Amino acid sequence: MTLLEIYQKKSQFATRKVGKELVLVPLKNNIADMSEMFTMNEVASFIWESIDGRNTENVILTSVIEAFEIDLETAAADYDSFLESLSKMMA
Amino acid sequence: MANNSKNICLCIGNFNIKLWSKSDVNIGIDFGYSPFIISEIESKDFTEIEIIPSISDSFKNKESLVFETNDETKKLWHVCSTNDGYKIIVYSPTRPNEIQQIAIINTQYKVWTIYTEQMSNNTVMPLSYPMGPLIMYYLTTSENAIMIHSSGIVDGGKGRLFSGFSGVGKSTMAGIWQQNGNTTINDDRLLLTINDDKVIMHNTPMFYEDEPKSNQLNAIYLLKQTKEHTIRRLNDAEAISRLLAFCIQHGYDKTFLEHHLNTVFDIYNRIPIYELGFKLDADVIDFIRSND
Repeated sequence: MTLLEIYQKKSQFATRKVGKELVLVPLKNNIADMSEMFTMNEVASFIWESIDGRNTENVILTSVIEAFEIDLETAAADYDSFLESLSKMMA
Repeated sequence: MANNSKNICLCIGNFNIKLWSKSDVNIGIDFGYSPFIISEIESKDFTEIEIIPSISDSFKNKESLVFETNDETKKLWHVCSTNDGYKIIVYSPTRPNEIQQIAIINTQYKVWTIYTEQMSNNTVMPLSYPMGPLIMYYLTTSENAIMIHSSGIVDGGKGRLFSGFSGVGKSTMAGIWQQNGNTTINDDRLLLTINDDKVIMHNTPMFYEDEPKSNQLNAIYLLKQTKEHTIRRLNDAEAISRLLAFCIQHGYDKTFLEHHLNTVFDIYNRIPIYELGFKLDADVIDFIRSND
């Protein structure tokens, strides 16, 4: 799933920031699908908010490294894990 | 049927509702609503429901259907958008696919018109299930309030709410507390309202008669059955998402869900939410109290 595809599907979720975490509830045919409710940790929440239809993977990864003071390998692992989880939920 | 009148005023939780009709028909309500009748509404903030004792065929079309709820054998209710609000078509629970009421509502859910056929005794029953609970649900969506599948008890002034999946023991838990001298607000569903820094739990009309009850809520417990009692405070996204799952939801677009998320967030900011593992035993009372 590409960043653009994720961005285009963001409107199909209701979200609420709770502390540094994020609650996402998908809407299917305009109805909340509580069975697919999803919570994101601080890093995943940051990545989600960075997906704005313009930021590239490199820009997002660089932002994650700077914001959380982690190395590229860790940031990339978090990024891949985030995309994998999100792809499953959006499938 | 408990009451017949030309006008009926109800107070359910914080919600004042006035039912009235221009026609000569009597407005009837079920037993469960009778204790919620008040003589008049003093507040300027109330929901007005005009009753029309017939259902015109012109209202039965579903040109702009936005939401429908059906079970395997019959229609339950359908929501259509109109030029300036919504139309809810409610079907009879006992006469499959027969329209029981049609409600026309403005977008703020403050002004309703309910069309319903009159009975042989010149009486209409505008709140017959499921219309009554649907009205309550939609009223909460314009306030800082929510309906939740739960039981609620008052333990020496402390309000405790128990929620969880069907069959987990919400009613049983309320029964255990009641047998030990505590008051049950309701053992099936509660209305929660937020007043400044407090969360208040209220009962709502049921199919049986019970007096209106409200109490400040001090803690929420999400139940699971275990071999030994356990308790864990939930935080942040986990607390919000798990509580949200048990809130009553009849919304048909994103704004409803956002309202529920925000309301649950406001509740989370005011009172603790716990996961409670429990076995069906009266000593759960002492266990819960010891964790206050």
